Amino acid sequence: MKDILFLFMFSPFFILAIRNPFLGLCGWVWTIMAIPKNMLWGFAADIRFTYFLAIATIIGMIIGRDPLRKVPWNSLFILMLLLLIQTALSNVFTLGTGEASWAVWSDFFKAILFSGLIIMLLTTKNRIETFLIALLLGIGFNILFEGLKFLVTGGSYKIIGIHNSMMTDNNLFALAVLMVIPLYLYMIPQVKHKFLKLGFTGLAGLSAVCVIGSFSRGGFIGLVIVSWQVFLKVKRKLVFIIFAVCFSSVAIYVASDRWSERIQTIENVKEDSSFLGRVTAWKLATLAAMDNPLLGTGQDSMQHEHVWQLYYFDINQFDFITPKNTPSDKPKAAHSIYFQVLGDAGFLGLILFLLILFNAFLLSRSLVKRANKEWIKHLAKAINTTLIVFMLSGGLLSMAYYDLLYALIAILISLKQLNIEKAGK
Amino acid sequence: MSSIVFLISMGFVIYFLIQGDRQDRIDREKKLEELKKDKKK
Repeated sequence: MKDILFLFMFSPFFILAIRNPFLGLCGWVWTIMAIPKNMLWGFAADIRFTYFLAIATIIGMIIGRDPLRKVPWNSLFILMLLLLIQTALSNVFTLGTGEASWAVWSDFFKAILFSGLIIMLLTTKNRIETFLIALLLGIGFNILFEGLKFLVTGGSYKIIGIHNSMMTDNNLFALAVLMVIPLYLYMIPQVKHKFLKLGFTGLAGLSAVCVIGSFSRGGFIGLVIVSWQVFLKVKRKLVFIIFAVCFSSVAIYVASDRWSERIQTIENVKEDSSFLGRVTAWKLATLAAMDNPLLGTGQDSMQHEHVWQLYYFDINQFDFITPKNTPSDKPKAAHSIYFQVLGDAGFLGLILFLLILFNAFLLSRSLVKRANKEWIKHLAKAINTTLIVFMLSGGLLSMAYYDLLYALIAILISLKQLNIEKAGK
Repeated sequence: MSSIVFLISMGFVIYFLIQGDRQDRIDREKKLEELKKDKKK
């Protein structure tokens, strides 16, 4: 019954996508963030909603005449395409299993396709903000439930991530949530509907609760960075300090001793087994890249036991951070966006990835300084904060191919085009 | 409970998409008029 009701309610997304393809993108981002699959157990759980929405959006683009559509060619987007090609070449010669490598590439391909469509279709303020509303309501559903569960249980519930998404563990969920906090703060003064304004304010607060409830140390560091960035950018600094002190007091009171113990392990990080595993994975990724500087070992292959052991023999070549390592038979995820790309696609891949991040950062900075519309400046500021959080917290998490990152970079490109148009008028 | 909230939030999204579509129609008409003016010039 629930599945039928859901399908009935989901059908407008397809109709809207064919009628006006930018709405297809909004439905697409909502599906990626809300993960409707987790709410369904019947026949509808097997339906690939994002796939069908993508097809509906592309059909809408082919049959419709959209005078606002743009061409996606831009140097930053070309860099994204080059990284996509680079990772594909790496996967051709993968040392792991082709199936696993191509599965990661397939998700990355969708992220880049999605970004290309964003540049083409999100060409007005209304379109960008409708897209952001869909994105924030989508992830907001998960933030609402996870945050409330943490509060209701008095801090003993541990947020473990969202199934069937890129936020599958506590650390990844914490980073995803941190990345949207600046977007909530941007949207609160922009939206006209009172309920939405109130909802986004509540969700921004619950986002911070979710980061604490994830017990993620990387997430906690990210929360401090976001708070600092927001403090630098808000006009009412005293109000922000009072709010932050009240929030921290409540959070420390609600959070269990387990949380405090977990965060305090940051001080003794070199003795922590989880951190040692990460450092081992970083050393092995570096060795793998030195062995295959142009192509790396292929996406996801470092997590295969035979590839891990292949490079483990030479691990004593490095003793950066700590000379200690974890046992050889336990492959670990890179737990760093930089070492993830280094192992997957070699030094060439890492250079492309860094160029994307660096150029996106510069673009956001230049828009903050030179945009001729206030809303473009504010949104560029929010995305700039998101990029800083991603680049710093991502240093401890494997999320290099996260679709939200590439979507936000695509929005920056759209903002740049809009800014040029406005300047020309 | 979560299913009901989920369906309500989905309803909200559809509502805001329809609102976005309305504004987009106005933007497209403006753009078409601009293009027509440019052609005449």
